[in-house]
Amino acid sequence: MTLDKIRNFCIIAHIDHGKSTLADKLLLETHTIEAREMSNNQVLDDMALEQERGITIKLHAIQMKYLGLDGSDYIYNLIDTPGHVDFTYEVSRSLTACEGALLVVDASQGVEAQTIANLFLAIDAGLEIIPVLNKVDLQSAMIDEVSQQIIELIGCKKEDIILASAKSGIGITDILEAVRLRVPPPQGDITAPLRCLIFDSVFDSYRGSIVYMRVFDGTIKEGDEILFMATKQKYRVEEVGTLRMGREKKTQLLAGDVGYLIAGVKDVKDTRVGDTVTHFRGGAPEAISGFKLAKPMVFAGLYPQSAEDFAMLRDSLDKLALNDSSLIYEPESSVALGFGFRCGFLGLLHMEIIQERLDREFNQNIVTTVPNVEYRVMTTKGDTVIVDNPSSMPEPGRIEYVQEPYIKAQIIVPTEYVGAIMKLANDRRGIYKTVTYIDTTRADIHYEFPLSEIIFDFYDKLKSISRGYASLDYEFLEYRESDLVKLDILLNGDPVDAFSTVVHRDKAFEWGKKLCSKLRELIPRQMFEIAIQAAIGAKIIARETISAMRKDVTAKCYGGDISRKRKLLEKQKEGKKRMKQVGRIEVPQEAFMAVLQISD
Amino acid sequence: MRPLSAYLHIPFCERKCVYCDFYSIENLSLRGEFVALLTREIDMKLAAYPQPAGRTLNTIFFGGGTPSLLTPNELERIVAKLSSHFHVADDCEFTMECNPGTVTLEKLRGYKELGVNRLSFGVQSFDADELKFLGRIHNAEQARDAVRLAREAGFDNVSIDLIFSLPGQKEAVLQKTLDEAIALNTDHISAYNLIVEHGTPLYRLVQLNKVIELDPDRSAELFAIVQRRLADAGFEQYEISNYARGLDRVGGLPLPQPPLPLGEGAFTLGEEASHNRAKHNLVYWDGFKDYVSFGPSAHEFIAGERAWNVSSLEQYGRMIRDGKLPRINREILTLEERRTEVLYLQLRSTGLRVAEFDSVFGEDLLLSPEVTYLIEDGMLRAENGLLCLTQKGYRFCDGIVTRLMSVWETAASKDVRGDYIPIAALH
Repeated sequence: MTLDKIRNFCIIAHIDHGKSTLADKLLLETHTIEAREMSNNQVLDDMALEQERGITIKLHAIQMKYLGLDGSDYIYNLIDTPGHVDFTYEVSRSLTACEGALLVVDASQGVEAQTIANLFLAIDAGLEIIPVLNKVDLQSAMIDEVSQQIIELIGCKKEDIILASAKSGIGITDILEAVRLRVPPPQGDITAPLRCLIFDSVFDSYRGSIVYMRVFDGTIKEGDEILFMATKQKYRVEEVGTLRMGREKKTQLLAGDVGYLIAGVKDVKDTRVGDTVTHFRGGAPEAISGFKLAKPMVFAGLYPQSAEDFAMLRDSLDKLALNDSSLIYEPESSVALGFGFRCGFLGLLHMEIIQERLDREFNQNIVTTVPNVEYRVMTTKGDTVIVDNPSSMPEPGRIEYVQEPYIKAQIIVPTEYVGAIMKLANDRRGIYKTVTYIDTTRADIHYEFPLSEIIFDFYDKLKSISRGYASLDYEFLEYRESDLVKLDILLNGDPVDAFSTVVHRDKAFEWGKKLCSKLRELIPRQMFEIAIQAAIGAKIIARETISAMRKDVTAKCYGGDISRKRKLLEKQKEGKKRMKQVGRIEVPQEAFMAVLQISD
Repeated sequence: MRPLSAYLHIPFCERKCVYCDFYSIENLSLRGEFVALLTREIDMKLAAYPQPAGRTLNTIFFGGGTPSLLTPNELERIVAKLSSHFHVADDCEFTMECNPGTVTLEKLRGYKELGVNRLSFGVQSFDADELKFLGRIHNAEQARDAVRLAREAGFDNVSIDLIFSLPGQKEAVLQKTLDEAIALNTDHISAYNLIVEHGTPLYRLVQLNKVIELDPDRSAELFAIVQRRLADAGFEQYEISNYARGLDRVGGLPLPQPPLPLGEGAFTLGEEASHNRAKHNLVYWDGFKDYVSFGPSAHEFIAGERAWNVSSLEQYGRMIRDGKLPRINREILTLEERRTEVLYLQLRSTGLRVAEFDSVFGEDLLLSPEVTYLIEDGMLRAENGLLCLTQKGYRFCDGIVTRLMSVWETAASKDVRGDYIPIAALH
């Protein structure tokens, strides 16, 4: 197959705008999959969790054979992209592997923030954009309005927009033809030194890391000695092939192809998304630009419920990391929680996914601390300390100043909610940038935020304020100096490291008060009084008291009561396993996430 | 041979009390038949399990129900049967539970002749409204008379039961009951915080919101009042709900016996232990000692094995007539379960014998930081080889026990042998 018969493209869409349904229809139409093989679930999302959340978490690619209306056979490579703000970097890498993108917009919903963010990434990557207005057969479809939004966004003509309904099969042929006619065939030189872009990898326990990649130049075949240019790892190719419903082994992959590579790589960390594969000898002098290590933005401590499960948690994390090179973790110990791991995540969603997978796939009962961002602390001695755990924040006297990560956020929302959103943004230390109007009904709001202000419940708040209509996208901006303080929580005078948080000074008093009162609700009465205090340094800023229980005793215990009583005590003891013993105080697990339950 | 205790359950009451979850029936006409069944059970059990036979009975306890519904003649038949199988110790503590509304001087004298040397009267309260609420058949006057009659019949070991923390109970009413109880000059007082037990009429009343339970903090205050008042009156608290009159009783006569030596169920809490502790009940709270039992619903514990009878006189009779032991269930305790029982039973009474506990269960209890904390908190004290609850500690016994249990990781303790084995499966 010559390069001019290959089309590499992806789909950009907001969650629920029909990306997966459309992908399935394309597979059916090209007989890549037959209707009877297709279950109720969409083919591209094969993790149970993804299906529940309606989010494609990991990228995949699939190859179709398409008989064009011109009578020629074409190879279509559809590369899937994740649709959530946590995965911007992965999106940008899979876009780079394509020459075109289908921009799918729900005709009843209009353009959303993430769609725009990903669209701009696609435009930056030089992709040909094919706008598709989906769900046009819905009663609530606003074909003219949404078409107008699209025209303003990408400057296309009205007749460039394909009207479709993936669900009803409307416009599918038009889309396939548009890909053939409008998406440029890949460029590439088969004789040039090898350059392949990794856009994903998965771990197979028999074969090792399976690399999904786009070949830009050269040829790669079994037996080749290759080099991963960023990680500088050398391997020998065991197998290459294309991705259809399963892996299809090929003798070689050529410039322009999308496929997979197996080279006995034992560690997915050697096969980083965005890295370039070349030949070890006579390789390309320069890698494909744009590689960066996915950087964790959100950190939290993960601790086993009971100390003896530490090794099991470590094994589970090791296994998860095999498939998720962006998950980082290192052992840490907490006075309150014992031995556990400090984990870095791409974002809050990524963290939730890891927590849920630990629970569901590995049956791990874990205690998670409140998530935080990474701070840069300039000390009075003039050195910089990176702090990814509030409890390791230096003493106030040693701090010259503290910097925290800022992000720029784009929020798209119906105009009637603009006021409420701006109020929320101000509460979260947002810095107003611009508001523009996409059309008469929708506003595009730009703000800068400290990342720490949006990692807890900002997205939920945004959704509830806007009745679900607001959409959010953000990207890292820079580190900025902020007046931040470490807020400690003391139980009976002893600071509990797992409760420490870093907050803005202006909010510290209120936070402290709310946190103390929340903990008072969550910690049960015990045999002794418990003082809950919030402190900045040595200064106590809030206090709550849990009064002591007055008695805890069963009055009567004779021959007939003994067995029953023993069972009751054993049950109570089991119940206590859901508690963490902090000093002498029994603290329920949910207390460690108390901050998340505090409302503004 | 290890000494033994015997419990006999007499399942009859003139009227069931609203709070009571012990097995009893109100059809008194079945009494004669029951005595015949009970003596047969004694014969059958000792034929089937000869191990307890010939052992010395250190204590005998007739509980119920209302054992004082038995006539001295009926009691004589049962005692004769016991004597034919066991050796009754010369100083055997022999207790009858009595309802103050069921005793006469003649009956008590009859009991005395049969060897009964301790009477325990279910007085519960001296307040007429409270007695009515509880469903008692007697009044305060009858309670006072009963104790007087007991003394007249020659009993020098008399106990009364009280119940406090009744719904809406005022402190003054409790104080009055305590004053009256102390004035009766008995040798022993049991004072129970009311428990709303499942399946009782009181439980239903609480479920229906017709009775509101006393607030736990309030009932804790009443418990502390009971503890202090009885201590002031010279009573030694030797279990959560049990108080024995001390040697230096206020206004009373000095007791004839010399103080007990340490060991074997009698321990000091800094002073001499009272002779008036209920020796039979101390066997329950020891965790190591054996007791054999007879009668419906009765529980026995011999060499680490617990077994109990059916809680139905009808079934009890049917099984005995069929030549079967009227047992319904048994459990063989694992070491972990025994550890739990010994811990909470000894702690709730006269104190945990630390050296014995450590050697049997391979623990090093006093090294546990939790023990140190609980001592610092004034919940426990370590004295004379014992780990004892303080007056305050008695109010937190369950919490203290679960804290001490949490020290042990018992992941491996899920031993199926600890589960109930239905007797049917054994035959």
